[in-house]
Amino acid sequence: MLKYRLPGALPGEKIIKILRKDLLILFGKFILTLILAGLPALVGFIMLNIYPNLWQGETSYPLIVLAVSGYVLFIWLFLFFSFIDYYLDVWLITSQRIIDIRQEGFFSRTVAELKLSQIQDVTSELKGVLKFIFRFGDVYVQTAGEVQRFTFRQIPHPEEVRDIIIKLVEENKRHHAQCEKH
Amino acid sequence: MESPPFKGGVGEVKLTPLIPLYKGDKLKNMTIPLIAFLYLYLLFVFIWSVFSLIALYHMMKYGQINFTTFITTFAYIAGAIIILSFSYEYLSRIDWNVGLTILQGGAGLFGVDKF
Repeated sequence: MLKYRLPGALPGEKIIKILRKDLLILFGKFILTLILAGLPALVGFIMLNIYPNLWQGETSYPLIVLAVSGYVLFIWLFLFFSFIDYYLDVWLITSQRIIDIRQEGFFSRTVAELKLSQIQDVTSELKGVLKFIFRFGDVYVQTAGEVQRFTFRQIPHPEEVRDIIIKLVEENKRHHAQCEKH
Repeated sequence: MESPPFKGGVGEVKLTPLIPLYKGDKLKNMTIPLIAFLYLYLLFVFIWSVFSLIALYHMMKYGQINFTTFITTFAYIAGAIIILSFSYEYLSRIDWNVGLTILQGGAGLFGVDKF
């Protein structure tokens, strides 16, 4: 059984799969952070060419130190938060339901769940060159509930996930049918 | 502060300057103490710390205790300590009693000899 603290775990419920966005998404965020981190170096290089004595000035040097320190702290927090944003967005497929946990910014967290018995249709989508090469995409789950469509965004191997959900839905239907007979 | 009288046309006309720094025929210097920027920086560090604590709280409460969360949390705290240590190292060497002078003579926004 996969280890994860299930929100509102049902009796006999087992986690089948834990899904997060593809690692390429996280890699993209790291690249963006690296670019942002490199910007002060570029700006500094340009400024030193225009004002060669900038580093020795008795007022310019402290201002540069303060600005660089503040910027580096900001980038470090930005990087950490990018990771948290990636890591805390989770989809859980259990033996009885699908749970969508989304971290949106610093102060917003959404948890939505969908029972397997409410699933009507499952579609996987791989659209775009990068997604096709690296095999990540979206899975759409059509439901009979209040939320019409449940979406797994940018997950690895969406076709496999689709197959898992369909298999679980069929098992769930068989189980309910057997329970009704008895 | 009075502007020099404008001579020309009919009589003399006295103009009120828009920037009240005009004294005689020289611009008055305005000095901002460098320590004001240090206070601003410390305020920023305080706000940054609050957001860092919020991020760490999210990670520990919702991130599940495993190797990945432990390593990233540890790396973040270690990195923050290193950055703050280096910042302190550089900032502690600075003389904060110096002022940043602007509007010095006609040399532009920042005095040339201050750079």
